[in-house]
Amino acid sequence: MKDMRAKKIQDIARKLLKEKKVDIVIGFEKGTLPSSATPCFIRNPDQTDRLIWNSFCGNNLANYLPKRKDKIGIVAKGCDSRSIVVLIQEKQIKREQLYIIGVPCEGMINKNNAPHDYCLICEHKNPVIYDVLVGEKVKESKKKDKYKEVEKFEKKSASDKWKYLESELSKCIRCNACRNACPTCYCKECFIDQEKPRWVGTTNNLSDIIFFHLGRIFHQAGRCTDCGACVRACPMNIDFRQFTQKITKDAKTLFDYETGLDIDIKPPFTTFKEDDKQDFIK
Amino acid sequence: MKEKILAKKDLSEFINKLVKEYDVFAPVKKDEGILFSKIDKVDDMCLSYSNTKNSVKEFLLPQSEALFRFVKKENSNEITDIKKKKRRNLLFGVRPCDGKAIAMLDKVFLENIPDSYYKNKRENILVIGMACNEPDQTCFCTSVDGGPFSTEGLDALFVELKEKYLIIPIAKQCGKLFAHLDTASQEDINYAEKLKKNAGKMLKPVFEIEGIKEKLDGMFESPIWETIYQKCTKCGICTYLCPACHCFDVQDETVGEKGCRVRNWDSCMFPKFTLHASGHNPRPTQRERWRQRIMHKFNYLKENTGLYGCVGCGRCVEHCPVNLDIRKVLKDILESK
Amino acid sequence: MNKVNNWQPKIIAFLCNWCSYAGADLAGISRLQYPPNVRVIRVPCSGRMNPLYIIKALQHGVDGVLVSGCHPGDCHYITGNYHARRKFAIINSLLQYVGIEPGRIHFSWVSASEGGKFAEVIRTVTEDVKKLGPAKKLVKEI
Repeated sequence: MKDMRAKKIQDIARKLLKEKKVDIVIGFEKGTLPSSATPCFIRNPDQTDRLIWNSFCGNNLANYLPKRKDKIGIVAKGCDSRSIVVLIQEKQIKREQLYIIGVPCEGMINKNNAPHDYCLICEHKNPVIYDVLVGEKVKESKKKDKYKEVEKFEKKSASDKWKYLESELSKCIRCNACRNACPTCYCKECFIDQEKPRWVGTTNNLSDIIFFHLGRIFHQAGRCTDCGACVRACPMNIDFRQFTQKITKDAKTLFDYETGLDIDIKPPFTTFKEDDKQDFIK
Repeated sequence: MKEKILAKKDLSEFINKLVKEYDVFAPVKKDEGILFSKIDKVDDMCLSYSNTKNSVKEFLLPQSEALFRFVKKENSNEITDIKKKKRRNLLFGVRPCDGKAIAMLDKVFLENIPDSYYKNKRENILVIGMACNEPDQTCFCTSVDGGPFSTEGLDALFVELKEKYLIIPIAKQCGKLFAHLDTASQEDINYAEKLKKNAGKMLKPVFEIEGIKEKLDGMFESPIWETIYQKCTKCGICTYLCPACHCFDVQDETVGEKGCRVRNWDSCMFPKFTLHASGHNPRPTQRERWRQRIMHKFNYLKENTGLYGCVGCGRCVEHCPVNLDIRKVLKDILESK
Repeated sequence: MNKVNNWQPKIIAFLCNWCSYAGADLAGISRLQYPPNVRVIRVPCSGRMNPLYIIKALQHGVDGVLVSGCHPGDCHYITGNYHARRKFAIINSLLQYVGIEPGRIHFSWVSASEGGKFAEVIRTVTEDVKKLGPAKKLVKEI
């Protein structure tokens, strides 16, 4: 079945490029390592047979969209399509520029041939926005214990919580892969790079590392689609999702908002309700 | 100096003795992978590894290194040098590729105008290598003038035989470390040669590197750079994990009246790497930055030091989040017209 | 209890110009007593308050942070405090989740006429922070 989808993606891409409906197609091709796929950029209709589709196509290709000016055909899984919705809402790309080749996803697997944690709790396997759907829609299911890890963590003592945060973040080598792999981190000048004034130091000082990650995670509230790009990119296996899932849960419980489902539903920080929760305010 | 033998069952005693005299760093298994870390006893060490995730350059060029401290006083600034460490460092289990990278870093930091911070660390470290009997699939040292049993940059090389290690002392100061051990037999030496040949066979050349410098001389404006960089996410994984990358940035960190000048790793992949104070950036897009990466490693460094800036360790290949494989890039460059 | 008996907490208060800062001013004019541990930073509106300033303050070794603005519906810029309220909810939840003690970060709505409330808020915040002792978790040392 997967081979058929690869062929269908190739045919769609070829047609789009031949008819000049797009300037470029962004999809996946075979990686140079076993059990890997890699993003590819195709402008020539004769090169479209490079495109593949398999369980290693984990990268979130929406990462390549912000601020592009050309017409793009883009392959998108469920989580990727939600990131695309966020980017359209935030005016980083125009809907008219995109021809979204949606692919229903049954989950991606990692180098150890196990499904990714975030794929196991995915509630949006089918793209929420697309111009063409490759293959049949897959069955969605609500995951009752989606935030099980967050709820377990919430019960810890303050010092245990901090100990875990420090033990995870002390592994950070400040390579910025988490930020750069994330499709919704696209600021022209990231707050950690600002110099006038300098917010965050440039060394591997743990206090600065924690500031960086807390700031970045805060900036993901209502914008993170739990695509796992950050954990997949991190060379030191830092467990970001313990924290990003919290911020996603809060967006749901505090503002009844789920990221990237509908372009027309206003993201939580662009709006407010008169009766927003304020029991923590004196 | 003659080759020596150390029985595997005696490794414990050997390491525990070293730990008394030196700060010993060896491969240690951690959550995030196998990293070169400080060990207190031989049990901390993990020798079933193809290579550590981090390279050993951090022991010569730390990720963040304090250069000097200062305190703003009423009429002056008080500046204090950083105290030099007294105990010597010993790295155990360094793969030959990382050793070759040290040889290259020595050329950059010790020749012409020696870097005093690097020099001080370099003079106080012993680098003991471990030959690669079974190179990993991402290794390509033989394609960049290296080898799984190379001794460049190392002070001694261990070769894992069946129940013992063959030790090849290289630097004079290593003599006393192994003086008490038995001399290796010709049989041991021959077996080590056999292992070397086998390892070499496992490393099929990925490309023919000879002539790449000359090829790149004429390629600054080549159209090949237009496509190579596209999937790069501009993070610093390749540069930070690379044993040969050594670019840095100098910053002042201040808290109140106290401060410290630090040297941090920087990455040519970061957009701000070449940002001028005027606002001009001579490498404005990833196209120029990827061109720089290849040119630096395979053209400029070859010209300036005689050595390539890549030792074929394969860390960038294994850890790049988008599988931007430098081996493929080099193949494409060498095959281009 | 604190081991350091003379220790006095250092608390930063971000006050919106139109309501909370004026309320603090009124407390002063009315000679209302409140603990002197607070240093005020005036912002035009609670909506201007970047939640990351809280983390920055903790990095600098501050023991407690208060952010105060106009009551919802009374914002000088009409909707600033509504947007601020959402940001505060998220940052408050996140900081508590990672282990910053709840008594360190406080939020309040204080109007220009609530000099008394301002003094009371400061008393509460100072007491809560005193109980927790000096903040150590995010302090940056070089």
